[in-house]
Amino acid sequence: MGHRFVLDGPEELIAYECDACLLIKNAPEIVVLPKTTQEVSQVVSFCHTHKIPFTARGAGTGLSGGALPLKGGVLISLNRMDQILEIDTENHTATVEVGVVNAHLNQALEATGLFYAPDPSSQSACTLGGNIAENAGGIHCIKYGVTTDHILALEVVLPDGKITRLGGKTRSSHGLNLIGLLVGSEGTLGIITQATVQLTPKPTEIRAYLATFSTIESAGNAVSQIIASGLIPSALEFMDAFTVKAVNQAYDIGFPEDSEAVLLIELDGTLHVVLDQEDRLMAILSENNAQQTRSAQTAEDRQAIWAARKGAVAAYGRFQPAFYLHDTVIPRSELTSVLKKILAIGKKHQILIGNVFHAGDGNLHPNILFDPDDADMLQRILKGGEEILDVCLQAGGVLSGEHGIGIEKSKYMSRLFSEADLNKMKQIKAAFDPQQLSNPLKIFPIRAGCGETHLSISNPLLTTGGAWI
Amino acid sequence: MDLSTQELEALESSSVIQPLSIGDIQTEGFILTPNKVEQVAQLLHISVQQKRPLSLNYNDALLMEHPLWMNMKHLKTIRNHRINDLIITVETGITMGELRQTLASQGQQFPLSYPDDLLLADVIAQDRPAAETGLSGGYPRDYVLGLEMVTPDGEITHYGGEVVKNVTGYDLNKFYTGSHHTLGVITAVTLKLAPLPEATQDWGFYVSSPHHPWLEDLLPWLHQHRHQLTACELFQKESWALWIRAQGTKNSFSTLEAELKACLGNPKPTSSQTTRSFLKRTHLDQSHLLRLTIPKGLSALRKTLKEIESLFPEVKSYPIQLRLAAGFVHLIWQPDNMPQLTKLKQPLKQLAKLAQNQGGHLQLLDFPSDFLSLTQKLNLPNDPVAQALMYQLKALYDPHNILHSRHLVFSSPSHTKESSSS
Repeated sequence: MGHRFVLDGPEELIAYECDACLLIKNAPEIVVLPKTTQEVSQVVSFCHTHKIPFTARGAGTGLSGGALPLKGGVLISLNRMDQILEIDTENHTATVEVGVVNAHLNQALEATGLFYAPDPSSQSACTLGGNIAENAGGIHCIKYGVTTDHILALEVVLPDGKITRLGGKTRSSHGLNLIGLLVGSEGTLGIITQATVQLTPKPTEIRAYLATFSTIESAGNAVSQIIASGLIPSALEFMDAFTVKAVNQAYDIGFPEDSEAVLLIELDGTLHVVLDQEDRLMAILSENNAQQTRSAQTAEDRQAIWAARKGAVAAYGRFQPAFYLHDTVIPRSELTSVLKKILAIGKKHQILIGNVFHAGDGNLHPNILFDPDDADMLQRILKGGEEILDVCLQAGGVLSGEHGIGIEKSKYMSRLFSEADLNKMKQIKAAFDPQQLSNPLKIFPIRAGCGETHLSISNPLLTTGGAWI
Repeated sequence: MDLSTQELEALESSSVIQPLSIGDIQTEGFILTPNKVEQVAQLLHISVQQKRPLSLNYNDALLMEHPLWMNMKHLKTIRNHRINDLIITVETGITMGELRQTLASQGQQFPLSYPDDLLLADVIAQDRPAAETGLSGGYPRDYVLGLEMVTPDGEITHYGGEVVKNVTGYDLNKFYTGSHHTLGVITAVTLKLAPLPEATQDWGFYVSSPHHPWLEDLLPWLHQHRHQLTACELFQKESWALWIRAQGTKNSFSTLEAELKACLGNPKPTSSQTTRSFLKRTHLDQSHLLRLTIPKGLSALRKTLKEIESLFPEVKSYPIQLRLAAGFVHLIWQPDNMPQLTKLKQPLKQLAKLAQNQGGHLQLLDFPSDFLSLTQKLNLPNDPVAQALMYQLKALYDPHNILHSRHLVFSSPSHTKESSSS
């Protein structure tokens, strides 16, 4: 691999001590930057022989601490594996190394009439390997599906260093569905080094709309009715009044501020279909007392709306320097009642909560803003965060819709799964990785004395600007 | 979990365990008909304790010596229907017909269509691709949000939830769906639903061979309209015919029809009787089915077709079905047109190789017991590392190799009639 691609100086290692979740930091003992699957395999084989823990890392944009080397050991950075190996326009597939940045793939596809649909907000920086490991979502996954729905084949280095290739250029699984199991396994079952992804024909017509509502209830009801009607928008996003204010201040986008809730909606397809859907959408918005409904007049307007949406979290920085966020998913019919409870929790604990999320999927992102230097506030946001989680789980929700469990949510897994459920997952982990070397201490609750002593917990909840949701 | 004599007697006296007969012939097997999930766990335990093979599919059970056949028909409770969320949690003994009727009464549907008498358990276990929604994939795993599975160690486990997006832990929904009942018994699933469409439109046309240029125009058109078109099947028996189904609003169909006819060069419509016969053919359950999965582009399709015509010169005597834009080729042999079995094996191997070279694979479905070894070879990946991993996972769930399916055959089929007769 060469000395250039092995880092062990303290000042070099510090860049790898965390990902975009700054909850916990722990530097690796060494960082390697392989260029090929064979090199990854050699490193992993060495670790396997010498019982050294290893953790794979893409761009480090993850929000649950998935790429954090909790037990130190070797951090395998996959950024140099950044080649697009094949774009097969006839069969609508692309084969890539996992260090390819999500947006770079779409740039390469620009002239083909095809696109890679999963679009996490971090797509300008995040890599496909990280997307696959976390089963990333995005604004448009309500219509096009999450990462797992687009993966046709994987090349994987197993925790003993063996290389296997699964799948081909079709969605049909061959034998047991190991691809389905590996996507979203957060690097705990091996290291994915290559993938064949499915591409989607670009729609010929795209239209974006903004609708404002005087109550959260009206907006929530509109979401429920859109879903129940069978309309499948390509995006259906929610912003509360506080978020609208933050976005306007940051980007001068001119979203109406005289409302409690804003829905951002996108329709796409052929012109005929979009026009038909537009009529139905407008009827639903009107029936639910939308105050005003605007449509983006140009492609630039549309891009500005989505840029503001994707930049919402950074805009919170004007109010508090840090935020703590959840990624729960609830049944969509529970949106209104859960949102009201979240706002009440904010009021009760006197904490600022901004809500901007994927309403069409029921995937909430309550951003609890705080000052990390204010110890009292820190306690209040911790308490508030727990209560929000409880409210979501009581409503039939789950812990994470697109960020993964990592280390950040692993302690809550027992709230959702029985011991038997968790044991089965642990047995799968043990079947792949009996020595527990591949991204150890992730996903499953850590028992006391099982590794915490290694951790240098800085500010327990500090997450600064630059995160993506 | 040890089952007491009383518990065993209770299962027998409540007819949960009964002797299995085929017609008037009494076999040495038993039919197990659990009434509740806990009984599934008990029955699995008996199977493990006695090391007796168990199958959830009647036809598979008949391939085994001293079989236990678990029939799920009494487990059909609707556990929760979140009507406004378009989500249902239901036990898997329900038939697809019963599920369809239940959902239709609420203006909803499971978006994939299957024969009415098929059990949901089998649809999920086989991850059975449907004729409808074939354009966008059409796999049950795309609609499974959660599931309950009883593992051979008697544990009742749950994954997923009644939400449409979820990355909480390993995606066991995807792993279990399509495992062909070989890892455990899936007793309940949570499914994503869709509203019934305002209207459905079928078109049937006679067309020339897919080697002709019309297919070059049709394929991009199908991709462009993939969200409206739910099925596109090309059949050959005596001649080639195309069936297309769209769902949506009535006023959108006239534009689609005009565009479709332009692609096909003003084709001759089929009679409604012919269309019905095509539809029936998509559901041939008592047939020996070869499913070739290939990339969805034109070249792969034509190359495969050419190879089939050369390997199986008598192809015109049994139906061939191409599921356009989803990359499926089905060859269907019914007992009355089955050529000599031994003649089939070599061409099947060659076809499997061709599929693999193109990034696809060949699956044998419901072939007779003489084909078990070939099915085992073809229905698992060639890569030895992947195969070893699958065996390891199978052993983790089912160390005594109790759960059997002839679609996904693990290890030497020691309990099967094929091996015992040889």
